[in-house]
Amino acid sequence: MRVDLYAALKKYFGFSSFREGQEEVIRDVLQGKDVLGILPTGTGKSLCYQLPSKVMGGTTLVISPLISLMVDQVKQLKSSGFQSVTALNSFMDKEEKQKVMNRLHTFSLVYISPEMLQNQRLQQRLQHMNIKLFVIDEAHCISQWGHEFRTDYLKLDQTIDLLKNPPVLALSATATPEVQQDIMNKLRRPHMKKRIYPMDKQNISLAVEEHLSPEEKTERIIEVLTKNQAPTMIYFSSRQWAEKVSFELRDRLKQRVAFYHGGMEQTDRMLVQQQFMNNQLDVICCTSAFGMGLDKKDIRIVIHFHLPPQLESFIQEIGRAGRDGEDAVSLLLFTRQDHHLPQRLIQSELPEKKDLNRIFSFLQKEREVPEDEDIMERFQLSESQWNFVKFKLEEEGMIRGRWHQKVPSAIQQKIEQSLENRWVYKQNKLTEMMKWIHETDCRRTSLYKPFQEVIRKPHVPCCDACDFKLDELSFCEDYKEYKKSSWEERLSLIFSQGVLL
Amino acid sequence: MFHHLILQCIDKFRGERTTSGIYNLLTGKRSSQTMQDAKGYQVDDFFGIMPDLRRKQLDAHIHPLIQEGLIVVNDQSFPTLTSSGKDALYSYKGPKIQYFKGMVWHEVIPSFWRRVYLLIQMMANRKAGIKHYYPIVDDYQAQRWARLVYHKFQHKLPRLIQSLYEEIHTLLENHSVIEANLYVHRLTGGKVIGLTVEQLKEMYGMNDVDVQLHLEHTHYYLFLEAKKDKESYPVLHLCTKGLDVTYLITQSARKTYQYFMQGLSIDEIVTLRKLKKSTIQDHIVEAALIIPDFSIASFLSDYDVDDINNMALAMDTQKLKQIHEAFNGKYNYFELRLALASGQHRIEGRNSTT
Repeated sequence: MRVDLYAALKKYFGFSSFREGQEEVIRDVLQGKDVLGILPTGTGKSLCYQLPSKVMGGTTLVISPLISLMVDQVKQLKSSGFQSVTALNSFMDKEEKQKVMNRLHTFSLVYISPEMLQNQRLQQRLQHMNIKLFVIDEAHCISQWGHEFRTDYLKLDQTIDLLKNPPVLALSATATPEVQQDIMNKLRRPHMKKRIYPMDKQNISLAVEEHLSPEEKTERIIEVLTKNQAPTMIYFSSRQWAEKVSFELRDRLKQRVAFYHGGMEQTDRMLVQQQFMNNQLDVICCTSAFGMGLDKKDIRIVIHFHLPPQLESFIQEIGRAGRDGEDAVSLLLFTRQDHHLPQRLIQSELPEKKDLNRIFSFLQKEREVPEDEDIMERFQLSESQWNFVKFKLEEEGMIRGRWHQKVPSAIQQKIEQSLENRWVYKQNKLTEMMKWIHETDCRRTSLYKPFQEVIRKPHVPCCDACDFKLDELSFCEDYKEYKKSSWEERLSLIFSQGVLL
Repeated sequence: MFHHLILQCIDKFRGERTTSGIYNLLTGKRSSQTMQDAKGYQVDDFFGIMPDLRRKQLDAHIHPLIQEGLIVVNDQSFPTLTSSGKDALYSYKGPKIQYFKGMVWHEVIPSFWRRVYLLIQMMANRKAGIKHYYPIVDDYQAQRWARLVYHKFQHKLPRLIQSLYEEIHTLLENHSVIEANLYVHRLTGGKVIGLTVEQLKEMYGMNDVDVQLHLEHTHYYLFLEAKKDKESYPVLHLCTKGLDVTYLITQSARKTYQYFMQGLSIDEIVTLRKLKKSTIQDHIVEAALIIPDFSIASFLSDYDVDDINNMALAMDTQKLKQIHEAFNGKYNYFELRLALASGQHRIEGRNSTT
């Protein structure tokens, strides 16, 4: 297919140049190749299928693991004038879902969650549609060695067969060579065209500091942000801490500070995100729930108040800084006790061995497999804990829908073994993270080494083990203080009164 | 304001209802008990005005009232006002609580404010020339509605925008300043994004329940004014279109009501629906409470109804047990509840004709 890609880019997205990797991936896709694209966070992975979907006609399917991410993407596309897009997920209300289903073939871009994709009616519907491209976003989820293994990703190869093998585009921001190979194996597509781009950010300086207590961390943040005024994100692993520190910062800094986490009321969440985008806020204290799909280009500082459970998450989160290519900084703060938090996170993701045994003997007595919610409630399991067990049982042919059979002890042992492997794997990931924060050699090199062969030379001071001194940093941007205005003033501002159309 | 509301509820409940009763009232619990209380104690305006209130929040606000000696809670956990509580109630200086009409409108108020917030954002952004933005209300129905309005009035948008601005301005001029401030700072449009409850609370130095209550009060105010005066507030009136009184009756009660209207007896409905007799009786009471022209003549004569209501009036209580005892068991509890429920409409009818 001969297309003027640049004209299409300008026409549909208003850009005049591609970012690294986009053009190569898009050309491969348009030639009908299966492509594995590893493009770092913030380089516009989604354009790699959004542009082809415009050019190729028909429908492009995008499998995306996180509903919030999916919904954000759709909103973002719609807000920029890309109308023919929709997202199907299990949280939609009935009427809305029906409406979308009825005119599914009219959309050029359809986002679907992997569990929704297993819906038979939907599959039948898709079989009669003109599917031009099958996109797997966050493709590392298909690999057990990826940091966010999702069992429902493993059925994707069957779905692709069912849809008569459209070209496949698998995308990820963080995948080690091992994970890349695993993605191709699991998709049964050994000859995918690999397009791997380096994920080291040449415009981000790295620093890690050990402190004695959370209070000391807070003092340090206040010190840093008193000297530096620029859009800042601070990551926490708990909602309570995000709130607590935000109050402290609000009282002691000139910047406008807010917190954000998944427990907030929906309207307020939306408002905080929009305020940050709109430069009405300078500092966001958040959990990892924030920033999914957020495309703010001028974030200068990313601080980690707590350790992420693995390097991959850390790399993705610092990747939110400096998307405009200008200088940015990552600062991670830790205390000796901090590994407890990620430890607990791992516990909440995986079941324990005794849970397995209780479930096995419970199923033996039941006629059919209860609903997911009931079983989760009964055994006090989180969704991902139950998913792990369920998938393992399905994989071994022990359950299918509501039907199940007695689990022989050989298989019980096999499942216990794979649970143990998973524990070990997660622990190793955490150990890797812990090792990195105690690194005395160049941090950049050790951070990116597992992912790429060559580490590029940064445009900014490298890291605190090399030539970066956080205390010499000085970002000074204009900032405004909250102005209390009367309602009349505010209302006339909203409605641009006194401004002629 | 929330404290004032709590004091009002306690005052009206006259020591005959617990804190749970207040909680069920404010969050709009669908039970015949709660609805009957709302009517019986004339606090139906507050029914369901705080759907998101958590029990812990209510307790946290009641506690200081006890400590300040404004209320006392007896050993059966019924709160009553002390004399300083009464003083506090009558000397309240904050914005008057006057616009809530919860029993009638609480189900449609969320749809109304969502529409308004979205429409303001759309209109203001259009005026400011902002083409790409995220809708500030994440609700499919409201978004669809706003898009329809936008397309339908495309040819006269500038006039619509100006009118919307003026309508809000006029209405807020006649509203308390503090509530006008809170409301307008919550709005998103043009170059400003609205503030969160947390930020409003900080800016105006009040607690978050008060922020929410003031916002909700303003929503009711705008809704009621816009609903009744299409001439003065055409655009806001548009936002109330299709949002009508839904008779507040549970699905299940509706079914019972339908059978009853077809002439089935309670016992027949019990057999047919495989439900307990007391449940079916609840449904009948619910219908008697909510549906003004519901006739209970097959259960009680007019004389009985008056008899029971007069007794309640004379004893100055809504407590069934006391009334039951006063009649020496002449009427059963179902009959008492039914009579009191239908008695409500008579009182209302009398009030509105005088």
